[in-house]
Amino acid sequence: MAATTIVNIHHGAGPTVASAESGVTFARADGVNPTTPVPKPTATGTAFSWPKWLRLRVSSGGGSTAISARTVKLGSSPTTGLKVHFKNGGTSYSQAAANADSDSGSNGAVPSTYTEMSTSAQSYDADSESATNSTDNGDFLLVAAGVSNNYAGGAGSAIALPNIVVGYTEA
Amino acid sequence: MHQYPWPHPHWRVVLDDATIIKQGEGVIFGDLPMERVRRLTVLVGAHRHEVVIPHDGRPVYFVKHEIEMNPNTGETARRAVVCVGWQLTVRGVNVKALSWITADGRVIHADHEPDGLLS
Repeated sequence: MAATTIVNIHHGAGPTVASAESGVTFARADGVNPTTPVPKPTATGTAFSWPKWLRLRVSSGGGSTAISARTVKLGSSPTTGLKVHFKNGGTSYSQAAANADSDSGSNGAVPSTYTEMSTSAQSYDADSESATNSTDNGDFLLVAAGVSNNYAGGAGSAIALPNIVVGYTEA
Repeated sequence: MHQYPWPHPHWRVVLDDATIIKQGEGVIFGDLPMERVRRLTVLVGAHRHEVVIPHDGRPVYFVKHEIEMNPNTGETARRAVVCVGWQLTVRGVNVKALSWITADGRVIHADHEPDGLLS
């Protein structure tokens, strides 16, 4: 049978692990739904959120398959002035403590070491790993958002980002 | 879109010496002796898909999953498609015969993943 997986978010020093499937807020603080907003730059430029540490976890049905080819993409294109970025976070957790990168003087900037997320599946961890129940699978996926000066709206929790789609192959 | 819950697939292979290996018997599909597999059977719910592997061919089986999360509302959708078939290299050319099985029972024959099958 196929394994059932969930996408978790790791935060805090412990870390604390929670489901990322109940909604997350990209902000300038650690946590699932922190409230310190990412400021919209007052002149041409981009401000970045703190990264979210996401990771696949096998919840049930494991034991007879392996998971590989982990990917991420956006469900739709974001509004002008908003972008989402990702990178492989390896297997060692480190609590988020700062912006994904320092503010940029350009609109639409991408934080260094990150890749801009698109609507096509992009690999973040291709390695094969056995699907074991109650066990994390694959590397961490770090995701951060960027707000540029050309975003038409203002700061606040009402800013809606596109869906984030995590994919993988199992055999 | 093919949402969970859906029937989890199970595979079974027959090797060239008639040995039968089933999923759950301690072998992951990727660790099978691919060049010795002569027949691949995949059960998806009530549907049984049988593949006869050509000489020098290798079986293909995997499940492709997607978890789509709405960070704003917390809504999540899960989708999956099963791929079964065989692959053969002929004079350096990769020849494939693949079937893509969706959760609602559709079977699409294509040598690559059809656009929009998951999303």
